[in-house]
Amino acid sequence: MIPAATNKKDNKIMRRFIYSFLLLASAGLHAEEAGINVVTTLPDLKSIAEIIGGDKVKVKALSLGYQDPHYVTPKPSLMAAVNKADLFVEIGLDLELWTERVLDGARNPKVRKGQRGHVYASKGVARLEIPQAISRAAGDLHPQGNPHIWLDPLNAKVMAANIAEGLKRVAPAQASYFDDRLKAFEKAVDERLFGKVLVTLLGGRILTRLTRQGKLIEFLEAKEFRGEKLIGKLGGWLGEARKFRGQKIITFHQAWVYFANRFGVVVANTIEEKPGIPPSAKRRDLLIQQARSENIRVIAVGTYYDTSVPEAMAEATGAKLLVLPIMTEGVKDVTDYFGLFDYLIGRLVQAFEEAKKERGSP
Amino acid sequence: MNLFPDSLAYMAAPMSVCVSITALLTYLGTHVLRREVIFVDLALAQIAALGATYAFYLGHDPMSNLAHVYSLGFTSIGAVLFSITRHQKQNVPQEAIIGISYAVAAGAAILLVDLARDPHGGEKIQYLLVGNLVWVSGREVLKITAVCAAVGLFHFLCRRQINLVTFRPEDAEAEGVSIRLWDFLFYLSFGVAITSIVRVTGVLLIFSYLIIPATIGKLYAERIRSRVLIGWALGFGVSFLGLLLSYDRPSGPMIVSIFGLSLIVLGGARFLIRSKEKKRAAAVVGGISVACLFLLFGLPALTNPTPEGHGHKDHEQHHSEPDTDTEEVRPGVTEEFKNLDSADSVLRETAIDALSKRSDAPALANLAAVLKKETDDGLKLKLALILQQHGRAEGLKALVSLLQESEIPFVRMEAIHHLEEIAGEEFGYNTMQPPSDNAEAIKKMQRWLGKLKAD
Repeated sequence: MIPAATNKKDNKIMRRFIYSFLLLASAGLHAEEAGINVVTTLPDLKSIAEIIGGDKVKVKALSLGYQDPHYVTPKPSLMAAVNKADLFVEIGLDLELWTERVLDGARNPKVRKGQRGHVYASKGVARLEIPQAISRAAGDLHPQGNPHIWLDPLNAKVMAANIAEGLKRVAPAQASYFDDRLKAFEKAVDERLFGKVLVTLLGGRILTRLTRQGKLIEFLEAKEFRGEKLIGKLGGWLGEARKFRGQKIITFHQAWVYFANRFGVVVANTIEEKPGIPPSAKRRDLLIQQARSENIRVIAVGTYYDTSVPEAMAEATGAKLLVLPIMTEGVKDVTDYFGLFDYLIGRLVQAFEEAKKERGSP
Repeated sequence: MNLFPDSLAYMAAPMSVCVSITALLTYLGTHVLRREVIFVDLALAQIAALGATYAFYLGHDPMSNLAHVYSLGFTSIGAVLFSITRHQKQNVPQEAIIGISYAVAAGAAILLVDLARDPHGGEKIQYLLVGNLVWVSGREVLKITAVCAAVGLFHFLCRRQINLVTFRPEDAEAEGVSIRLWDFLFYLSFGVAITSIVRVTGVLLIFSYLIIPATIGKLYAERIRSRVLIGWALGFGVSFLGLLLSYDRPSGPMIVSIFGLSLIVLGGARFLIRSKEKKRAAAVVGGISVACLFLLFGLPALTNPTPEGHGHKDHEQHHSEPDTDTEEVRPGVTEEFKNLDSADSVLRETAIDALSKRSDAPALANLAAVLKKETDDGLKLKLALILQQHGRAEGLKALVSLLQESEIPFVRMEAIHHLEEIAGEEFGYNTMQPPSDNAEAIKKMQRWLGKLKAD
């Protein structure tokens, strides 16, 4: 009979052997791939990391753009991807409840929380909806505030800076390369958000500050440049979004706070009261009444939700139902982070215009 | 009582669905109970969902009519399977086949969704089995009523054959009724009804409507007709009560819970009525009731912390955000000074605004120090104007240096505007040109500044 201790030891040796074999095999498979392996949770983080990392990185996102980012099944393939990662990027703020299991299963000490290869992209982002008191009654509980931060392009500049910092930690030799690309990214965000003309006149820094203070529109309406009101110079996403500024929508999940805060669309209510629990009849009556009395014309639902309840809402109130991606790659047309906002703002403008025509005709 | 809504109008559509499905499912339930295939509805619903998933995998919308055709196709295969496994002389009970079908259909559906990788609603599939009664649309009410009526009519017309194969299968062949065929038709009609109903009610509710009224009917009556009538009365009553009480609650779970409660009460009552030793039966029922009440209410009252203690605990977990109460107690300056050095320009400006309300020398000295380090040209301009208004020389100097250095046309425009107002003369500075092309104007300004100092 073999003593138990020896048996255990054998097992250990065997396991080590298998692991090293797997590692060698994967190393062999990927030997031709040079560069820094970056693994992100969301496709939006992937898109930003690709922009910052340029040709020095290879980026893979663990979740798909049309999946609910709160729930992703930790498959072995995800763990294998993290095992090879030099840098792991997640949003944090309790958004990705599944990363702990993936990081545990990945056996890659470099990218564990607190290590050099781990980045919380949300670090330093001004958060909304931080609960006043912690209570389970609120359902979906985010004690650190609403985690859907990437839906504000200004937050993406902070997220990109965090990613650049992480890249510089794991590849210090390339620091200036990443810094340059970060600057270019920040400029690109500013130009897309405010329009090139306004960025030339006022600079991204001032515009960003005014926007974060919620004073941009007021400021542009008050100030002139060479006899012309500055508001006329506002282009980009914010310029487009003026078409629906102040208009009300109903959404399904509380995913839109950052987007609404930035682009001035008003989320009058959410269909979902508590995540995972079907809305009650009282809620339905309340929503329908609100939609009628406040003349709400658009209902927006994330791509990964069931549309039957919102469809019933739309039918009862005559509002338009918009199924919108909340992430990059959420629909086929959205292939990178900038494309997400092109798409979202385009669809909203179109929906409000159609709703206006329909209401206006009779 | 504000527990009830002002109007019961919200109940109309869901109640119509409840009436239709009670009418059909109570009757089908008596058959299901007799055949001992309790979970067949779950299995058929899951098989139907697998059909919709397969359609989704092929690239169709899982809610489309085509997907419904796939659902029905898969359901028919399930019906064939369940009809051929009934009377085989084998050592595998049919309940095992049903359980296996359920598990395999559920597993395969998840796998298919994963393989499909289509952005359009992978999660929709799982909603096929959840349903939401109060949100049912008028169109769906009509559809369900029609399906229930059609299936009910079929069962009414063919009641002789179907009753025979369910209740007296041993006599069926002798009377010229094919067990295989009628079993298949039974499961097929059953599957058609389930496939349509499940989208609105979800599996939980279907299961309850199928089994609970039929079970209670069986407790109190022998004849099929009486059982169905008792089941109907109970089903209608529970549906109405459940919807009434669930105005502000999830309706499906409420109805299921009331079904469960009524079964407990009616089951206990039957036990008391039929028992030969009434005293002993009463003691058992009473004992169990007391134990339940103690577990539900007595034990929590004994062990729970007081509500005040609970609230206190919540307060301790409170996030350590800056507390407004303590801020007011502070002398007022410390906090402002701290944010003057913040890397965040929004916080910095708030601090600058707060401090600029004061005009004492330390405050102005601090503002001048911030101006030296400031990188945001907009804030530089603001600080320069504040200092200038208070007669500090740094203000004018900063305005001129902005005109010499700033890359931002708007800032240069504001700066030259203010500077010319203060000086009362024009320098010929062109805002649209970079500072390097304004050398002449800048020289003029510096001369004016020098003269000002000399004075």
